[in-house]
Order: sequence, then C-alpha cells, then structure tokens
Amino acid sequence: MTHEMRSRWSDPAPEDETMTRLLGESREPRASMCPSSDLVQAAEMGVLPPGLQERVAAHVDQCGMCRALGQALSDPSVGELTPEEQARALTRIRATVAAAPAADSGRRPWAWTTVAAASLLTVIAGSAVIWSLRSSPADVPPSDPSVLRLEKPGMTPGGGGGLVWRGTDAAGGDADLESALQSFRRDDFEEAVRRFSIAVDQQPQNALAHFYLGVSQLFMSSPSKAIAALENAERLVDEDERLTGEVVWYLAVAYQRTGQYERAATRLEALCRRQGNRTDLACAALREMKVQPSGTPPR
Amino acid sequence: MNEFEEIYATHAAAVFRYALKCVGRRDVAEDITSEVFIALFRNLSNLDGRRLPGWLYAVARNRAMDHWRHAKVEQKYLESLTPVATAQHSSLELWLRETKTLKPTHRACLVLRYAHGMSRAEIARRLGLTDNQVKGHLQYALAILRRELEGIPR
Repeated sequence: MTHEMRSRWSDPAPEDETMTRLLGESREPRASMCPSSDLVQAAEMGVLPPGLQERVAAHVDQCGMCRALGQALSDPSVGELTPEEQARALTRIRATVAAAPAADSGRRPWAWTTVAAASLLTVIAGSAVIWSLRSSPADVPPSDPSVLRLEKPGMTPGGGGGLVWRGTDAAGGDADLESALQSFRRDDFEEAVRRFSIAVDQQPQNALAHFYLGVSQLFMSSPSKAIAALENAERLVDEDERLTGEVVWYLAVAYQRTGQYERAATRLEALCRRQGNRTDLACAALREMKVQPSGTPPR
Repeated sequence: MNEFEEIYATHAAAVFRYALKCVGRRDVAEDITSEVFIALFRNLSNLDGRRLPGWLYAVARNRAMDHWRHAKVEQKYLESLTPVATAQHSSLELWLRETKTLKPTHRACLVLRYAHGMSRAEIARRLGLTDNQVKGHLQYALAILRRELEGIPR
C-alpha cells in the first residue's frame, strides 16, 4: 500500500491498490474539479437555484464521470427507503400531526386507538393500522401552491423600494438593523434571526425589523415563530403600501406552512383585491387553492 | 386500512426516491418525505384523489427547491470550481462507458470511491447501504474489471 493510497482514503483497502493499478490512475481524486454527487443529482432534477443550476449542468454536460454518476444515482434501484427511515418518517408524521393545533383550522382533534398507536411503526410492513380520525374538512381547499414558494423579498431598506427605518431612535439601533440586514443578504438566516431579535428589542415599534425577523424565521423553517413576528409587523405598519403588501404575503406563506389555510386565504384575498405588489401572485395562489376571491370576477 | 394509510403505503417509497434525487442526501430526503405526508394528512379530506401522486411530487419538489435555496451551496461550489472545470477522460470514465456488466449501484460505488475519494462508510450513507454491501460491490466491480482488462476469470 503506497503512501498516496493511505492519504487518499481514510479506509484504504487492498482492492483500492489493484483498482488504481488496473485503471492506471496515479493522481488524486478529481473531487476538487467536480461538483458533489448531490449537486450532480439535483441538477439532473432541475431543482437548483438559477445560476448554480446552469453552472452544474454545464459541467455535467462536459464531464463523463459526472454523467455516469448522475445516471447511476437516478436509477430506481438506487435509493430505496430503508425500514429504519420509514419508521423514523412515520414517527415524525405522528408527532407533528398530534401536536398540530386544531382550533385555528376549525378541525376537531383526531385520536388514535390503542391498536393504532401500537402498530403505527409496522404500517409499511402491511399490518392493519386503525386510525380514528375525527375531523371536519377545512373550508379552504388544500394545496401547496407553487407560487407560495419561499423567496427573499425583492426590496431592501434604503434601496429601490424607498423604505426607511422607522421606530424609536435607540442609540446604535440603525447600525444593528444594518448588520442584521447584511446577515440576511448573505443568506445567514440563523445570524439574521439573532440580530433582528436584538433589533426588535431595541426598536419595538419598527415594523420593518419585525418583518425581516419573521421572514428570516421562515427561512429557518420556523413558521410558527415567523407568524408572531409578521403579525407584529402587520399591526405596526402604517401607510407604507409596499411594506404592507410584503408583510401580508409572507404572513400568508407562514399560515400555509402551519396548516392555517383559512387565514392564509384571507390574507391572499386581501392582496388579490388591492392593487399593488404581490397582487398577481396572490390571485394565482388563490386559483391554485381553488378559492375564488369574494367580490371579484373570475380571471 | 384507511385512505391515508393506503396512500402512504403506496407512495412513500416513491416520494422518498424522488426527494432523494432532488437533494442527494438521505436525511434531507427523509425530512422532505415526512413533510410531504404531513401536508397530505392536513389536506386529505379535500384533496381530489386524481391529483395523486403528482400532488405529492409537487410538494416534494417545492421543499427540495427550498432546501437548495437555503443551503449555502452556491458560494462554496463556485469558489471551488476551477476555470477548466472538466478533466481529461480518465480510464475509469472510459471503462464505465464501455462496460455493460455493472449495475447502477456498482457504478455509483465506483465513482464515489475512485473519483470522489469517499470512504466506504460515506458511500454507504449516501446510497443507503451497509458498509459490507459497499465493500462487496467494490470487490465485484474489481473482479469484473480484472476479467475485462486482463482476461482473468472471476
């Protein structure tokens, strides 16, 4: 076993030497030149953000190794759900559904029978599972509208949107808000949440700070916390039409993510009726949800 | 079996495979699969069954796109990319193109090992296999290569 072999892998094995000799490979793995295997696969599925999608796809087009990998990973025989993964997914579904608030959506809470609770983890094995589900249908038809995808707002304070910081002039407050925004721009949402939380403590009347805190929490997959911040922003925002539209939009996204479809639809209806930013998206989301905005003709 | 159980039993594996193709990581694919069926549970009473399984895949796809938007992948990748991002054709690449004998799992193990330098444990996690299975696949691939290149019987 050569020194290079030992440094190349953390677990060198005899077949590595043989394989390398047979293939005539003598240089380091080409991982530094190729995107990671998950990027290769994601590019094949077309789910990467623009820019990155083009770069990775262009590389794969020219790299036979990445093409071979992408094809191999796309085969149905690769990527079976293991029993352990199935069990974990079911446990998570059960826990999440059990914890879901029933009041907001108007549904009565469901209940498990003893048999169902005991046999839940064996459902994939084909065992009969009895669920006792008492619920009333939500008034709003279900959907996961594609237009309600989470994206960063297209405006920043002091930029083209013409927004300005408002609220109390706490010493150093604007500097904290600016540093929070910098974290947000860098997609460092964890840090952005931390900094915007400080900012709202210092400037509790600042609608914009509450708004960005809520959006950052959405990006951190904390829609429940995001709702609290965005509802504060909605309460505080005054005559700023543009900010109002953004706040209502992201509130709708947060409600949707927490299963509060009626509240999401109410916000989307308000946006659909008004003339401003997000109007077209809101109307499109309502169409996907198959909800007709009250008082408006079909589009 | 009630309706939700039936749908889960029928589609969970396919949704997982789809999610895995979109994000490349089993742990994230597992999360996405859970989220998809949680969304299904919340919407089941009003969902037109004819929208399945497309509805499930649409939700999975949206979640996957969210994952990639949140991951700080682009910056890392663009920083690591060399101007000439394609290497010369390696022997492994040429052989993979020519050989007809290897199954996709073998090919994936080979590329991840000899092109991406992954350990067997990393490959096992990536593909949902055991370490021994990965070892077996690599040894099988070696036997095929020896046979094809040197005419040595297995």
